[in-house]
Amino acid sequence: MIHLRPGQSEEIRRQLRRLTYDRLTILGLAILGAIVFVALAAPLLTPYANQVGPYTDFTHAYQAPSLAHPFGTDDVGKDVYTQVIFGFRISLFVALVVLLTSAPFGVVLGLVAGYYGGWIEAVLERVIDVFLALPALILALVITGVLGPSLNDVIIALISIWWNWYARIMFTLTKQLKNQPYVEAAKVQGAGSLRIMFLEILPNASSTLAVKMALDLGFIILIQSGMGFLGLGARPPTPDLGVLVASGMSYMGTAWWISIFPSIALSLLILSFNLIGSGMRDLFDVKVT
Amino acid sequence: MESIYQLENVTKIFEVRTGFVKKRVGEVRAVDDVSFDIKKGETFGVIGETGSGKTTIAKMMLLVYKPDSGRIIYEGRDTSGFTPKDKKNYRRNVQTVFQDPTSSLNPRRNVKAILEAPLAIFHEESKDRVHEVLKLVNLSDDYLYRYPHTLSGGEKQRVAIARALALNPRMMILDEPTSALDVSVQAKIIALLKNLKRTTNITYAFISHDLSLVANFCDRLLVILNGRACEMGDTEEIFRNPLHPYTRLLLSSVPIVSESEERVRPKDVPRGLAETLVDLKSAGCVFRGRCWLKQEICQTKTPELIDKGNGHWVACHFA
Amino acid sequence: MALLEIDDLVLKVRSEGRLMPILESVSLNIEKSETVAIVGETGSGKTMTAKTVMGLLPKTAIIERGKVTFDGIDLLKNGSSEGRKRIAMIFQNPMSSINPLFRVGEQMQDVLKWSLRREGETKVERDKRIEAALESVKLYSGGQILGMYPFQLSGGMRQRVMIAMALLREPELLIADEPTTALDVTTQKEILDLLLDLTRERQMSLILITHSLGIAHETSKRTYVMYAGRVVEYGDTVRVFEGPLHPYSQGLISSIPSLDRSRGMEAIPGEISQADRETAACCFMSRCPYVQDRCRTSRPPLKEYGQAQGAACFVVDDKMGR
Repeated sequence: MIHLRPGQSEEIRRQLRRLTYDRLTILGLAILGAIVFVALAAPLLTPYANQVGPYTDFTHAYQAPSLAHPFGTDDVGKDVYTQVIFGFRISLFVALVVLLTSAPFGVVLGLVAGYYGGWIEAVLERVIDVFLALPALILALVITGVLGPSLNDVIIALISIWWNWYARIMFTLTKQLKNQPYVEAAKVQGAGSLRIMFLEILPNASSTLAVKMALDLGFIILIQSGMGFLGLGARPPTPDLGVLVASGMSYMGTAWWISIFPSIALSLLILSFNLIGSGMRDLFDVKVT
Repeated sequence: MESIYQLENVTKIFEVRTGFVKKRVGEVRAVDDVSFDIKKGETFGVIGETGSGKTTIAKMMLLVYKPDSGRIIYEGRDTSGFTPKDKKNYRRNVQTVFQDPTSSLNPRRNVKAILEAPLAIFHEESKDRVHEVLKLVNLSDDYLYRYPHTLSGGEKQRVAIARALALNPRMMILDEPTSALDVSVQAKIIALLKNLKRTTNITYAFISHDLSLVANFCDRLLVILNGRACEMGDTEEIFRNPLHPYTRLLLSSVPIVSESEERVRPKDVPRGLAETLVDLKSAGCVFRGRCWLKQEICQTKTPELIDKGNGHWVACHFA
Repeated sequence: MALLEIDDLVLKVRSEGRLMPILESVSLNIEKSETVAIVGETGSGKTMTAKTVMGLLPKTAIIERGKVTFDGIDLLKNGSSEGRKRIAMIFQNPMSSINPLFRVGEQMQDVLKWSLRREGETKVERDKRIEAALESVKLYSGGQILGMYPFQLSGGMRQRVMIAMALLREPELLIADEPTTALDVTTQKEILDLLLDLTRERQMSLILITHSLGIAHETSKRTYVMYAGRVVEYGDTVRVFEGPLHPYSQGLISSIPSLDRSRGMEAIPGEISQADRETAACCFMSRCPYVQDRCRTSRPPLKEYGQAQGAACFVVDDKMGR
């Protein structure tokens, strides 16, 4: 049980209530909630869990959606529905790993560079400029081109790109926030730099960062599955959603379900993050003004 | 009474740079050769309008700026010789309350965190002190978990005062603490500050532009214009016998609400004073742009602060 | 007939799904060539009253009840722009009401070209009008000022420019909302003196909205005191300050510091709350030293007590023997 104080529970209730003002945000949360549940419980939600990974059963290939196979079966006989729900696991896993690695690293770098300025700032700026000169997808292609196509390499590529965004955003925010009166007040009280950076400046960037993270999750998934689609990330038989879509491309006319259902699933996942992200952005904007 | 704080011939110059390449085009003497001292336990007022340098003085007293010349002495020690350890110790003893309560409190932290912060910096036990200090500013414990944006202006400022009191400082620099507040709230805050002084014998440096407020709150005053000290002395003495023309102008400009106040106002200040631009870099009295007593000498020679007796000092060739 | 009459104005604003009361039955009037002050602290409703007259209310504002007439013209109806043309308003912060991107001269030209257009007027004629306006606010060397940007001027000069722009309309009524709050006290005196001179020269009425009792006392003939969206007292300025009727006025006057240190700066207990603004009873009951039971249950009406002095308080009503 979380022990809440009088002011706190009131505050949290108010914030949650504000979040629900926007119906689209609720929709986003609902979709994401469903997907996360499905992803976590995947092995329990399908009798075909054994089909994940190398598996073929050509007797059941190309079957249209039916009660036994709600999403039909693919070109090697696997149940598409099963592939999709396991695909969610991959997408969510990649998104979280990339974000939880790149964000803290980038944020801390940006915070320190923004606060101290000087050569730290100069060096960081140059590095970020290099990385962000190219669009993320292109850069990811380049990196995996060098490292060789595999899901792990996609993750590494994404991490090495993504921290730059966070560093840059945190850098700009720090430069703005470090002149705020309450920061000056803290300095005058004798607060050291570490305290100021992490306890005064960083909390005030949290809403911007949170919004960015929510939106980024969707974007990361998009790129990662895009790479899978191109055959440069995860490869079959890994049930990555991008790979699934690619596998059904040649059968669009005859066995449309092989590509369509994974596409819809992917779209819903990314959409849910976008809805939540923009809902959060509206919520925080209102609070700040 | 002994002096706890002294400014000796303090000057602070800011450079003016314009253009893309930030070329230096001139300088602004924000504070020009100002000296004053603050006695232990008194409330010392610094009165000035915009551009007077009063905020710069406050920042120098907070060690945010260093004076370009002159010395700032606290309890006998020159602050320019402070080691980082000395500075930290100084900060513990000399606290401040800013003008705008909304921006001086971190919006992301609740009252408890705000009050604990200074105690944490000095590694002190915070539980009891936080409650004590809230009580000192007449706020109940209910306020502990509230966030600044849910508080009124007066409440926020009280939290700011509580924060300044947390470490039991010997001196508080109050930089226009009530300018952003409603008039009725101002009375409460001033009453609170007066009460605190009674119980703790703390020393106040009170910076303001409000003459009526200063009349009711400060023991001694310094009137400052464009970085130079014009007049200094006991509040009662200055109000009874304002010597510097600028002080007289200020007194005659303050809007009042009663006949008795009307009697305090000097009657010899002319209406519709023209304002001519003066080159403040050259020597001469800072008030010569508006002064009606101005003569040749005022354009060329900067008047020094002279002791007129009774601790009353004036910088004017004709006072 | 008064020049401007506000009668029983009730204003609400829609916010976060609720209807918040802003003004509760506000009535005030001003005669020709008269200077009236509206005094109040934050949240008293004084600025919203002015905005209602000028038609500057936000879209979420709803006028539930009341009349606002200017020289007989109903300002709340469509087509009220005719009446509004004769009223001008100046604001507290000249930097935000004068466009910082354009030179002073350009802006004043624009005002004349677009909103005060006169048929067949030439640029030369417009220049003359602008020069005259600047002279009337004692900004000479008009040519120089016209070529400058607002940020190059001092606070006092900017405020004079704003007044000059307002005067281009040749208004019969000028509403000044805290015109000197952002200025130094010496500049403030000059601007207030200027405003008073202008009202005399042009026979212009002036509504001075301020939180400063001193300013109200020194500039106006009559004063309205507002609190929590209501008028709690009004009357001849001298009488209101010498013998305030309403407990809030009394408390307010006692709480301000006096130049001769004769007053002790007594604070009014408590603080204004949202409940006070929304109550159907007396808005001051939570802080009033004379509060009685009936103050908590019903609203004291604003009553006049001879010599055009009035207050909204049950206790005062009793004292006045009605």
